[in-house]
Amino acid sequence: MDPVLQVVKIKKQFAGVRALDGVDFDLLPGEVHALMGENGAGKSTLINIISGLIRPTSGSVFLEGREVHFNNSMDAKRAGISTITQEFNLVPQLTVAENIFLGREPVHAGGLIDWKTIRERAERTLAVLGLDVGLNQRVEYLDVGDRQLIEIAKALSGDFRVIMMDEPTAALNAAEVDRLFEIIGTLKKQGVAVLYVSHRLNEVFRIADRITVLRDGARVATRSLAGLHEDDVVTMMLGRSLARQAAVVATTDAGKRTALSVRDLSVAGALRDVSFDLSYGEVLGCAGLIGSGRFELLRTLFGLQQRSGGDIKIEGRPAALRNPQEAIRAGVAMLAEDRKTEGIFPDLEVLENLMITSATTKERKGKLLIDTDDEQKQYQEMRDLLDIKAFSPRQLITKLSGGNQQKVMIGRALVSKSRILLLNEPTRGVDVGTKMEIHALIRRLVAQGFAFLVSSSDVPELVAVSDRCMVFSAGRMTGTLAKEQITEDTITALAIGRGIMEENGHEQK
Amino acid sequence: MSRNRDASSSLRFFQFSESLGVLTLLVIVVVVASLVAHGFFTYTNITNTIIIASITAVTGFGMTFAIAMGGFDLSVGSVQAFTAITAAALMQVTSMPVAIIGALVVGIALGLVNGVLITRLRVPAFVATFGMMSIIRGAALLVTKGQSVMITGHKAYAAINNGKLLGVPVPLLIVLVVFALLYLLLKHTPFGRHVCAIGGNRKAAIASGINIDRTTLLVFGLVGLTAAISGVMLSSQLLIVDGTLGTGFELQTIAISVLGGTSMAGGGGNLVGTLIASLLLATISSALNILKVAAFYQYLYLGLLLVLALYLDTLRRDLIASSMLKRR
Repeated sequence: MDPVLQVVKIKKQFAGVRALDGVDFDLLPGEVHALMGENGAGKSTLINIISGLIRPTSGSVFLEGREVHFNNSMDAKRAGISTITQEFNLVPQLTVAENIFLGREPVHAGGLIDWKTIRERAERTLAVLGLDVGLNQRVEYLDVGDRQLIEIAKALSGDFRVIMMDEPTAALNAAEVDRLFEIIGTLKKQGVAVLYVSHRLNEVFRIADRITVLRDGARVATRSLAGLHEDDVVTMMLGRSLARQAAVVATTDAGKRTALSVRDLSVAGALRDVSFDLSYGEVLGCAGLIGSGRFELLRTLFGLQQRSGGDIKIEGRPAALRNPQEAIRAGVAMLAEDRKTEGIFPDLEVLENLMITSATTKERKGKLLIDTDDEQKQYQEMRDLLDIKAFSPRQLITKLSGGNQQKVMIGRALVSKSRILLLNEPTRGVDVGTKMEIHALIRRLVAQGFAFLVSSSDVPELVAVSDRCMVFSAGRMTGTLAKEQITEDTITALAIGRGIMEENGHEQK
Repeated sequence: MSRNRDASSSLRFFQFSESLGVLTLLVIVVVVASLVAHGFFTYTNITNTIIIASITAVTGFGMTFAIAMGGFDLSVGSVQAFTAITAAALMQVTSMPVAIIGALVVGIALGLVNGVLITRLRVPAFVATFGMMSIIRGAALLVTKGQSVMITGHKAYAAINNGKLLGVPVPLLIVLVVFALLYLLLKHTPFGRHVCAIGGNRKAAIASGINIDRTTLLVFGLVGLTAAISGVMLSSQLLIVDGTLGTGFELQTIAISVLGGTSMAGGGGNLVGTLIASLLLATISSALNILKVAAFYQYLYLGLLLVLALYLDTLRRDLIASSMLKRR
């Protein structure tokens, strides 16, 4: 059988970083092809190239034997390739039917929208999906699961030969997943090729015919799933020759005091019954894939999100943590996950960016004017401590490199005088040298008695800096690894929901 | 590389124009006005121009704060009228200082109402102040029953806007004092920094522990206060007030803020620019007045200036964005 889609020697480079390194890949009509790999392996990049969102640095894409060049996602759609993404591309204010046909509304001869056709076709699609929502219902009233199904309805309502699904089940319940798999079965019979991206091994084994595993931007293997075992897939994903980064400095054992104590913490739709303690002088890692709940955990501990249950104590005292001001006053600071949208103030100077939080701390209270000399002093301290490379504190922050911006963000947490630091993706988007510096800095500050909660999708990073590491999967903590147990393999195994603790007999409380 | 340099050199031009562009424009307009409008470059006319500019500038400063925070206040004209009437009415029953303080308090209170609508009821600033603009205007007309109110028996009151201290017009002194205080507030207090932070990146401001609601409330209270100061100045200037005062004042104050280099996108405020732009606006209207151009044209050129200023602002931001991309 000739492949419907063929990708040949695709390379993609982002600002010097190689995301894909000559990947070959093909998709047969009527097959479900799973694409797996760790975060950052290149899955999203590959999908984005096929769906026309980004262009490859080199290599070619063939559709039914003909080479194609997509300039945007509309080109790919017209050629018969549809993508169901994790992020919803729905307009909440529009109705279900309007969303399904958004951008490709059938029209009458006079240019008016052909509502009759829309209704008929939308109704048929929804019936196939078994989705019980009104066509005229506005999408903003629907829950996440229904929205995901609407996304799928969009992909089904057209005449597509290739449908790519990026973690389509992340927001679905068990019954909805069954329904989706039935639909995928129907699509197969119709000869549609389905590219299925998921972190969930059991799903892949349920529906996929073949699997391709990516690692570090390269294809490890493409295999038929028949005769393959789950462990084989995990081995392919992890690889074996993984270099360790950054020397680990031993932690000082200066009579560890409990900084943060969390009991049965739940966050609606994200986290269930999580308990742990964090001590001063300790780095506690948080591992987990997207949707595991670790992101929400940090936001909740910083008051950016509200818990639905459980207790949080800071130094033994119950903490309400209704907003970030309360968190900062209680001695908790957070490094935002996305520097650009939640971190930097693009219109402000380096110094102002550094000192912005200090005004909300206890020590500042009661003073009217900013003490410029004191700020200069603190800036110099931070510049020396963090080795921030800036021409002047009066420079706009956006003129600094990503790594130096990140250092300023870490400095912001430090000048707030907080002793409990929650770090989200501390080295995302920084170069390797800066990454090493930041790791060394974390170890240095821990030795001085700071308490760190480090949440990262970069598993080697967690191996390098953590004293202990919690692993989350689908909103639950699946294990806490002690220092000597922390390896990329153990973290990844727990993150994709395969328990290893029982086997090792090392279960933690 | 050379394209990169192009972008940064035009960026530098815009950075320059942000602070000095409006000054250059002012100088040109003054020179042209002096040449074509006889009687423009006289002591009396220049003084009058400065007095007119002062009234707009004071509220323009407040508006600059609101814009720096990423919002604006459409109710300033109505607040100006209402506080002018408040001062006039209080003057009939009590002493001048009490009347002035009363008017300022009313201005702050009206501004705080805006703030409460925005922070508590979560009404967008545009809608909240738009509604208040109509409500306060209605109230001003109702309390005066559509009549004018005379200010008599308080000779000293007229001195607020017409008097001189050591040869300097009092309104100019008021403007300079307000300017100095607000400059300090914007550039040298945590409050001012928070205002710019909220306008520049709201999400990051929340994550930095900034109290968004309190800052918003205070900013709109401040705008109300500056509108009230303008109201007192205007009533002192006219000595006869009514409910129709200050129509179009919101447009003027927003225009001078943006012309002065404060970006509608928020993130920073340029009070010096606001001050200069207020002089520019007053100079243009004074010159056109001398040239006997009908006052209705004011609306035309004000609108044109506003659109032009916003266009330049967008151009500048696009340039910044593209030069950032090239740096990558």
